[in-house]
Amino acid sequence: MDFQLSEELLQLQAEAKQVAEELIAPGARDRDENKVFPHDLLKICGDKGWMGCLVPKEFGGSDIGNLGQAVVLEEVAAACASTHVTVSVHNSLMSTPMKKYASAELQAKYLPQVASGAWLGAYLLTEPGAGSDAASLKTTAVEDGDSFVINGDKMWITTGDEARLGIVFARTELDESIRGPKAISAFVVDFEESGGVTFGKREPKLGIRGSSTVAVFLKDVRVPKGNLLGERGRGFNIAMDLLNGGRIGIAIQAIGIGRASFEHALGLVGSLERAGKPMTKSQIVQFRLADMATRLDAARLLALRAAVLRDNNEPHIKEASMAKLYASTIANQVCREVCELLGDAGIRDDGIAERLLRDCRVSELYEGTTEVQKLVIAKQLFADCEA
Amino acid sequence: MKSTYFYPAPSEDQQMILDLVVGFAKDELTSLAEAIDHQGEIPQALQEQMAEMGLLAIPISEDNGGAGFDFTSYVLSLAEIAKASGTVAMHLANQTTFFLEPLAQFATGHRAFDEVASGGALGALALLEDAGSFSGEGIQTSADGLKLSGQKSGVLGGEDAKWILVGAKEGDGISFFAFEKDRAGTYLSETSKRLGFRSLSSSTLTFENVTLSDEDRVGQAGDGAAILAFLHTRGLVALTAIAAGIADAAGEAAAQYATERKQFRRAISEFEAIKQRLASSVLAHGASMSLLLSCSRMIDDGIPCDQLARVAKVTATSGALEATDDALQVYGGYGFSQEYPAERFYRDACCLGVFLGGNDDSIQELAMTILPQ
Ligand SMILES: Cc1cc2nc3c(=O)[nH]c(=O)nc-3n(C[C@H](O)[C@H](O)[C@H](O)COP(=O)(O)OP(=O)(O)OC[C@H]3O[C@@H](n4cnc5c(N)ncnc54)[C@H](O)[C@@H]3O)c2cc1C
Repeated sequence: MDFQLSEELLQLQAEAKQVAEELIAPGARDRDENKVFPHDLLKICGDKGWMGCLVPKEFGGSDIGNLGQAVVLEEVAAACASTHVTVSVHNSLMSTPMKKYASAELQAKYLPQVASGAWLGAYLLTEPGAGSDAASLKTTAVEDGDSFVINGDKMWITTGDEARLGIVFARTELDESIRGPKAISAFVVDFEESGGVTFGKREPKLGIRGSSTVAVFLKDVRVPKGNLLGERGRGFNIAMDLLNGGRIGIAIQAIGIGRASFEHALGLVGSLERAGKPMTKSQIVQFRLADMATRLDAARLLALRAAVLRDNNEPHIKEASMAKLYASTIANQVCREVCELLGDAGIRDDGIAERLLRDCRVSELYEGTTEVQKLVIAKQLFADCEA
Repeated sequence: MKSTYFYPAPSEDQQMILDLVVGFAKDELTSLAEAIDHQGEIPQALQEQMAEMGLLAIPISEDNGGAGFDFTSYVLSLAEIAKASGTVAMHLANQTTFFLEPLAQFATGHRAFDEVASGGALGALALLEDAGSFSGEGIQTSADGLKLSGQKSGVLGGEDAKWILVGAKEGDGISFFAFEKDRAGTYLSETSKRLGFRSLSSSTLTFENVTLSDEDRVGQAGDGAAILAFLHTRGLVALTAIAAGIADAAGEAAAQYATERKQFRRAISEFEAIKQRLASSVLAHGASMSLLLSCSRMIDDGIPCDQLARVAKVTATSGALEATDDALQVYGGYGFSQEYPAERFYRDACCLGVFLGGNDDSIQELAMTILPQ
């Protein structure tokens, strides 16, 4: 048990904090209001090595691992959740499968562009009819000579229309007797080379409005057979493995947002009064802040534990889900309590507390809803009993 | 089938206004609610229509220029309207409870009444100050010598209002005045929107030596405590109604969605976890409506209900927050989309706890009621 970050990570954290505060936070409100995709910030993140946190150095990545990524991206999330989710999906859901499952040829072609952030990535699992039940997806990939031809509609795709590369999950076994997980394979799709990829309009959202979320339509999208990731029929396992990493990322996002809201309140109470006395002298205020700080710390410990387990290739399905479940739940509570604590100033849209509240809500929805995390955890608990 | 909480059954009068309001809410308001929220504005035509229907002054006697229904009719109407549009309900409460009712009660014949009651202009209450609570403590704005100086923040609908009702210190007490916002020395110093209830601004009004006259008075000099209590109790009950309506709307929408949405080859409504999420709306709505009716009947019968009104408001607003959060969750990713109503219910509900001094204040006051004097 070592609760101290290494010198190296502390330095990364300090650098990330500075960049986040000076360069990322200032435009967050504008990006929210005007739905501006953070192109320049992604460039900065690329320069810093944050678009290739999990990519080996030989391909230009920073290779700081899941722990390093968590530490750095918490700072990004605290500054701007829209930027965070774009970076998080790129790292956890796109660069990871490239590194873990792609052929040497694909890696040489794509990983340097991925690591620098020059080519952004998306993860295409969800469909209109397949959300929590992702294994019921209908998109098909049919063999044709030395390619696969992919057809189907994907929904809710983060960065979809800004991405060059997508990890697409599709059924390769069309035989109805092979159902669910075993019928699914994963592919790398180069949106520019393959053709046939079009996008829906950007989804109008409660929060993270600077990120892009679109439907993606795949029509006769032709990809070389070499773009198959891992083995045929193992795509669903790949999807779930990626989500284990992604969930740590969303836990960190929630913690970053919750922390930003908490720190905003902490910074203000010193100068505010409540019922005629300084807010800092009110137990209502003191106890609320004490609760928030405790929950945020607990959430961070859960998330960092899951990150370390993942870096060490140890089992972490339950731990990643616990981190995401707890962090997203308490971060939303923190955001709501801060709004209430600050009164009218907390809910006014010229302040930051209301944006943080809106941004935070999605953390209980994507990469597995709160219900799905509980299903995953319960399943692991029962499996542990049997073992 | 959802049961009714209305027992004993409504009187003929109550049923009449409810039928009118339910029809209006269902046939007209529901389809406009999304646009009103997005544009942050209630269309002029709709405002005129509501004024013509008498919805701005439901609980004010006909003698005093109102529609002549009881307070129960009014809050039940608010709940129905809130079910369609939280911000329209809040707008009506803002006109009725925070402006017209105190005028009718404490300043019959005031110049502002007819104009606001007929929908010709809007009113707003400027009471709270940065450090103040609703008890009147912390009011710094002064009206001594009939010169008004000070600042009011968080004025609901302060931007669009023509008339403002201001509470200020005068001598040892508090006095109320209603006058035109364009009177010399009155400034709209800040204004923005909120997370929810998007048609109503949150405004800061600054007064620099504004000249007042006895004609502006609402109530006698220094009599403000009674007006404060009147405003507070009725305001809490009105907020209870709005919270009840929002919780109900969120639950109904989510239940409908849950029966249509299929995952794992069944309607998601079949999952126990989803039923739990849906039930929180039933719990919130049931508790709020029962408390609402108790309070409103006490008000109609002239029985003080300030304590129960606090219980009602705290219960209803925290219930609505939970119900709307749960409803949003039932929609999954679609709950985050502004093309579905769940996120609007949630945004509105997140604001409810803040109004009228906040639930923390109410909770402190409630503890005092069981402490020995
Ligand atoms: C902003 C945003 C970005 C996203 N980005 C991506 C992306 O980049 N790539 C991608 O592939 N997807 C993405 N998603 C999709 C997201 O992962 C799904 O929305 C999520 O998995 C839930 O699916 P759904 O929306 O279809 O909800 P549903 O699965 O329909 O769920 C509806 C409700 O039912 C509950 N439920 C479902 N099954 C059960 C069960 N068995 N037991 C109990 N309760 C259950 C859910 O918890 C939820 O409350 C994104 C979503 C959003 C909102």
